[in-house]
Parts: sequence; C-alpha cells; structure tokens
Amino acid sequence: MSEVKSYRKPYNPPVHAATWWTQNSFYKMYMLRELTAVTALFFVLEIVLGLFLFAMCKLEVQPATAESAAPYLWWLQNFLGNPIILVLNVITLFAQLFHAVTWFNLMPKAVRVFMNKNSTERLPEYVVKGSLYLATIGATVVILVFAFATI
Amino acid sequence: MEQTLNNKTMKITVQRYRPEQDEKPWEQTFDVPYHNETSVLEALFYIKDNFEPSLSFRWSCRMAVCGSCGMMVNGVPHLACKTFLRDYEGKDMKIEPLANFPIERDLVVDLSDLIEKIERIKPYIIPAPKDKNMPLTKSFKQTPQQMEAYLQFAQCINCGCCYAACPQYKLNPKFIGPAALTLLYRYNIDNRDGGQKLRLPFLNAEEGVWSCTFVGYCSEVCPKSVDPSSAIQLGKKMSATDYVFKMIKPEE
Repeated sequence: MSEVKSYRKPYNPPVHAATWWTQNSFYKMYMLRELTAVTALFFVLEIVLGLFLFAMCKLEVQPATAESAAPYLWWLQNFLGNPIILVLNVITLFAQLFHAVTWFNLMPKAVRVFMNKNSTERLPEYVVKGSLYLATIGATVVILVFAFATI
Repeated sequence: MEQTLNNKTMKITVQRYRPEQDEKPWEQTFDVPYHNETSVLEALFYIKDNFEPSLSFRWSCRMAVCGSCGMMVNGVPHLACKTFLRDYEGKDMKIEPLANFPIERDLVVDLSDLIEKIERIKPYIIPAPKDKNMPLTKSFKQTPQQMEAYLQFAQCINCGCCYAACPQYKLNPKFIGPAALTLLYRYNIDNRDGGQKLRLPFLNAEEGVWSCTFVGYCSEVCPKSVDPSSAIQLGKKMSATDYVFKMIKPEE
C-alpha cells in the first residue's frame, strides 16, 4: 500500500487590528468619516453642559438678572467664547458637513425603487441625493428661523 | 494583426509560499515583457513558462466568468484575467494571494470558509408551499421588473475579492460577508422563491448584515459590478422590517 504524505500547512497572515486602515486611501477616508463621530460627541456634551448649567440658574426669579442666570451666562460667554472651544466648534461644523456629504453620496445604494409598477427603470441617484440635501437645507432654515425669532 | 512587444518590461514581484519548505511567505521579482493586451494572468503564465515552473496560481476561463484568479495586485483585490499591465505603466507590480484567507501555496488561497458561508444561506430557489407540486412542464412567471430587482446581485462569480476587501471580515472571520449576504438578498427578493423564512435567521444574526459598517470597499473592487454593499444595506432594511413585523405579529 502506498502512503500519501500531505504537505498542507496553510499560512494565516497576521491581522493588524489597529493599523489595517492605513493600507489604502479608501480605508483612510472611511476612518475619517467614522472619526467625525468624535466631534459629534463633543458637540452633544457641549449642549448637555449648556442645558445642565441652564437648569442650575434660579429660574423662579422674574425677570432674570445677571446674578440669577450666572451659570448659563458663564457657559454662553466664558465657555462658548473661549477661543479653543470656538476653533473646536468650527472643526465640528466642517466634520459634520463632511459626514453629511459622504453619507448622502452613499445613500443611493440603500434605495432601490422603481419608477412605476411596470418599469425596469430605477429612481435616479440625483433624486435620492437631492431630496436629502433639500431636507438638510430645510431643517437648517427652520432651526435658524426659530433660533433668531426668539431673540 | 501581429502584436508588437515594444520591448516593454515590467518588474513584477510575486509572493511565494511553499508549505513543504517555507515557514512564511517570501517575495520573488521577475522582469516580464508585455504589450498592450497583456493581462496579469498572462504575465503569470509567462513567469511560469520562462522563469519559475513551480509557481502556483488558480485560473480557468481567462475571461472573468469563473472567478478562479482573484488575487491582490498592488494591494487591491482584482481578477488577474481582467487586470492589464498597461494600466500599471511605469510602475512596479506586486502580486499577492487574496487577503483575509489562509494561503495554501504561492497565490492559491483556501476559500472553503467563503464556500461554506455561501452554502449556509441556501443560494437556490426554494419553492413556496403553493408551488411545491407544480409540474415540471410549467414555468415560473416573472416580469422584467421582478427580474431587474435581483439580476445585478446574481452576477456574482464567487471570486472572493469582496472578502479580501472587507475589513469587518478581516477582524471578525465569523461575519458571513459580502458575497454570501448579497446572494441571500438576491434569493429573498426573487418572486419565484418561497424560502425567505429559512434565510432570514442568517440575515438577522449578529454575524449577518448587522456586522457590516458600510465601508463600501467591496463594491469598489467587485470585478462584476455586483455592488455587495448595496445588497447588504437593502438587507438591513429587510432585517429591520422583519423585526418590526415579528413584534406586531409573532409566529408560533
């Protein structure tokens, strides 16, 4: 009886769990988009701090005085007015815009709608992207109107 | 028309691994002459014929139909038969086996994990109970739109390029992965199919669509323009819809 010797020895390349994304520019763009979540977290914490300090004000004093609204005014003037926070907020704005644009560019992949019941033609990509941009612009306008109407 | 070789040569580095004598892969460089129509696969043939007869790689159809010759060209997953040296003019080329798979020998990888996952999701039409006893002489009817809905996702040739491109699969080999999830979606939206319920558990699972973070590189490298990342996002929608329906109307 003949014997068959197997030389099989599959080689498993090492996985670089921390640095895989440095391999190509596509992965780097992806990581950059994911990193914008950090700026979003920063912004959320900033707003939470503002709300918290607003709640610390003596709200029963009517009309509000500089003394009764001191914590909120500190947040408004000293915290938000701080040049470092200002720069961070500008970075946050651009990071979120970058996230929005790249995300909207991906959105048509998740939409597969046909023009009508019998057509094989699909809803064009620009309609999907365009409606997202319109919704963003609309929401921004509404928020800005509300923000400035209360001043 | 006769091909002119123009005396053009390219430095091609091939990753070698011979399990019977090597501990780990190493690199070997060749100067390969080429003309305008030389594909990477033909360059490998040239190397095997003229320099290194022991070089191993998979191939069959030479025309992007069989899906055998998936490999990394300069770090990007490509079909060797569909990639041409002219597009790398003035650069060096490095050919490595497909990433994220165990290397058997030289450019040959062990794709059994991919095959198992494709088998797992039942990639075939399962007739609905009402069609169970349909005579073989009768055919399923399908409108052009119903066909258009899945046709793109049915172009997959199981070459494994998307798995080599997927960082989620790299980090978590349990992830079912782009090709299998695309096929799952493709059969689930086929109007002739009645096996959705059998496939949904794989779609809904942690290692199903929800392990995908929409990197999108699978769609970028797919040699058949299948767009797996699109199928997976649509699969997420299908999974979420199923979740809501099950809440409203639990079964059993």
